[in-house]
Amino acid sequence: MTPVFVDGGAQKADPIGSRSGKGAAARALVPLMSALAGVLFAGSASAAPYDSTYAPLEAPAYVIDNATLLTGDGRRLDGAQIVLAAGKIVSVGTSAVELPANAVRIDGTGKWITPGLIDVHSHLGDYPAPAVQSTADGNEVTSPNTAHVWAEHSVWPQDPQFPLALAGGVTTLQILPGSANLFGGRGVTLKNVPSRTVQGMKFPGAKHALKMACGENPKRVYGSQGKAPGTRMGNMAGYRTAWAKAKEYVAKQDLAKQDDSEDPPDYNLQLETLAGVLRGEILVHNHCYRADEMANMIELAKEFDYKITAFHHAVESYKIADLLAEQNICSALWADWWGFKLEAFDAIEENIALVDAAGACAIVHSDSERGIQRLNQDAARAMAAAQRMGRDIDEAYAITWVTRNAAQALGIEQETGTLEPNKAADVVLWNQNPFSVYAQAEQVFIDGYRYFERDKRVPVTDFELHQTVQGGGSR
Amino acid sequence: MNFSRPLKGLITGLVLITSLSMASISFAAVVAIENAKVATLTAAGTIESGAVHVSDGVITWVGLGSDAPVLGADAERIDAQGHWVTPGLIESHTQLGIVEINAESSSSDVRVEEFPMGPAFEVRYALNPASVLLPISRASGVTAAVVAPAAGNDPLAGVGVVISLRETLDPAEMLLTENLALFGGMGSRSAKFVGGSRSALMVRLREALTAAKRFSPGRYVADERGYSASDMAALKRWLSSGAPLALSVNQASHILQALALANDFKFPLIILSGAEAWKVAPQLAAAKVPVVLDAMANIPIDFDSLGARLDSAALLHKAGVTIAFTSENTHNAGWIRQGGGIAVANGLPFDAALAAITSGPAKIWGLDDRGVLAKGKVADLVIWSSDPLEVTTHAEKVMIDGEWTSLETRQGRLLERYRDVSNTVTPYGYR
Repeated sequence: MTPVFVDGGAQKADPIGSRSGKGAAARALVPLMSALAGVLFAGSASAAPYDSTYAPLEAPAYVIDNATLLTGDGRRLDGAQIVLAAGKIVSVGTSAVELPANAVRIDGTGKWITPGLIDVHSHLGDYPAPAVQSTADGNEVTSPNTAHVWAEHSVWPQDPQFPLALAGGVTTLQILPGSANLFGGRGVTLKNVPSRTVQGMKFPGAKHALKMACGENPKRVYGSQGKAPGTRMGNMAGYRTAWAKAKEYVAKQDLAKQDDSEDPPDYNLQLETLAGVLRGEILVHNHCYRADEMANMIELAKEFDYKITAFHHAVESYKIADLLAEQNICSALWADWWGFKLEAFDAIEENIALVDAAGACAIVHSDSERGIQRLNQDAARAMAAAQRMGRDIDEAYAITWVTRNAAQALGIEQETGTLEPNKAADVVLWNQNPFSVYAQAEQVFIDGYRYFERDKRVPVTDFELHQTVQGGGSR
Repeated sequence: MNFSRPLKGLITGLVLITSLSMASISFAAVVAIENAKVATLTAAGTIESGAVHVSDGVITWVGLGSDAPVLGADAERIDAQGHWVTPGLIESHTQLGIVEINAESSSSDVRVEEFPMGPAFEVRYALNPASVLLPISRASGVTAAVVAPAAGNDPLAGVGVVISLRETLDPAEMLLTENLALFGGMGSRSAKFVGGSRSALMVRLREALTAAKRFSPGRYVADERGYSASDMAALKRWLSSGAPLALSVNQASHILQALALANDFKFPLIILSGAEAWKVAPQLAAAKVPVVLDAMANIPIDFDSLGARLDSAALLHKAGVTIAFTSENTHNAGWIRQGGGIAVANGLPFDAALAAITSGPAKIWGLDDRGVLAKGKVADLVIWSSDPLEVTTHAEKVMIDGEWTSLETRQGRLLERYRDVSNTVTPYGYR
């Protein structure tokens, strides 16, 4: 990392934070990327480098009448109306409101409405279709600690899988780096909108994630090269070494803030990510299958005083559901995918049901370009498994696993994830009960703009032009 | 297709069955499933208020409940409570019984790599009736499955079988057919083995098939990187058996090449995967070549599959092509039901979707005595909690060879162990 001198224009984006009053040399130490971005964005002083440039599109107001609403916070409203205007949900339910002028009315009879679905674990754009070597940008398999890489820098907005996910009702998704490394890098939360740039998809204000990975992947990838880690204990040693350095880094930064005579540490991209976690600015999303390893990770978080937001895949969460509830850690899970590796051998269909029953946060995720198209069906399978084991839950409850709970794990629950007035108009109109295999999303709204109308108006990526089957719906 | 299938009839099969199983088979008693919505998958269609009678492992009667023959006092009568009854599901492309954990090579016998063996590879010698995947698949309603070699290095991956998911400890008893089909692929992976071009792959196949016809072990000298004598012997055996080639191929133009190959060398062809098969559906229908597809595969995942679409099944069916679904997921073989449902949502008639996981595969793979509920057919059937294609539906009871099978699984045992983690009465390890 070569420090470069930049003009004051990039100071706003200085990822080290405010260091006014420090020596000139320290003030000038900012990363190359900030410098370049500062030049590129010269003139648009408001946007910090890499910031979201997404802006909701203008849209008419929509009034959908007489539909079945699953609100995402556990309620079901029958024969209900929802009003969307200026990008927001205006009203939800049957109470009459003053309808916006020129509102587009949609007859929701026989149809169901849910919040836009949220996938907390996706690699779309990073592992796009076609899945060829030149597009495989999801896993920086070059070092067990790549906390400095950002998944958003691999996202190809032209991935044809984005519109397919949209056809499945997905309005928000978190793109994570792969799981080869102990620290895979930063994840990013995107709005599932057509865009020429990833910045145009970034969910404004959403925190970054740190992707960590337990278990088989890191030890296999590096152990097979004769490098560390080669074992699960090697994994733990790797995390601890890195967190210890990050602690030291943060302490030095804090000291320099308090004491002008102390120089801050050399700017380090890798440590910046870990420091972001220690400061609560970055959320830990931890790929971890086995119960005993999750317990180890909880100890690790205790040792270094950080918060684990969610365990991903977590096929054994049900074995420690009480611990996860106590620690307030979400589990992002598949309904029933299992057996592809030994650490996925103990997956059971009731995992989500048991985690949820223990009072822990349960999320249905995909980690799959196929699964993301039918998160509602995975939630349906998990709901059915819960009912079979005797839990009295319904669609209104189970939809929270792909809406509200997912929003919470991404820290965007104030903005989206439920149908409530003043929240983003991220809404899916289904042709029937979305817990049916026959259900299809008919219309999908993001911030009140209708991005998807089945068989009528569907986004097409550049890549698809003149070579794939177009029209999204039947695709 | 008219190829030999050393399928043993039930009576022959019984001779082989151990005395333990013999004891559990009741020869006289009739099992009557009553008050059922019976999807016969025959011209009789779906019968509301239907009944199915089973005796000695075979369906003895199917029809309207009110027309059913009088039952003896010893009959086992099952009230299906109006629920669906279908033939047992047949998964058309799995590695059931030859893999436990995909990523653990020591538990997997699905392919040959780093060793020159292609058509001579046979999956049947690795079949493990104790695989924990079998009860799990059975509990999801799958009663028979094609077990195919996975793509290895050679474009021709080897010979697959069809297994019954009946409870047995003897791998030989799992087999419904031995020499089912030769499996292969025209993907870029297969092409790599012959230098990187699908053209080279075709040249190799054509040369090998030509040579196989006149193969004689004593006189054969293998070219460098050509087929060994055992591969050539296997090719010759397969060609003369009349068994099909099940070829994994996606691009429409490659499918046409495969059709030409089958036509030139006079073997029955089955297309696997077939992302772009819909583009050449008329040709496939005319050649009576069926397609085994994953109904959820709609992603342009590679340059062979740019034409992938969710309504592939509907388009193929409309053109008159016989189809069968595969989940392409051995551990979650039951997902073929979901594939069926998605195909229906995308235009495939419901009955055709149900056929694609029962009678369709039976027809494609030559299982003449399975796949439908009709008199004289083997009693492989499932009672479902609701619509069999719904993701919220589960198998309530599964019958194979006229026997209700256990739905107990290793996953079920895990559930029981961890159902109540606050249990302090029985310590861990003893639950």
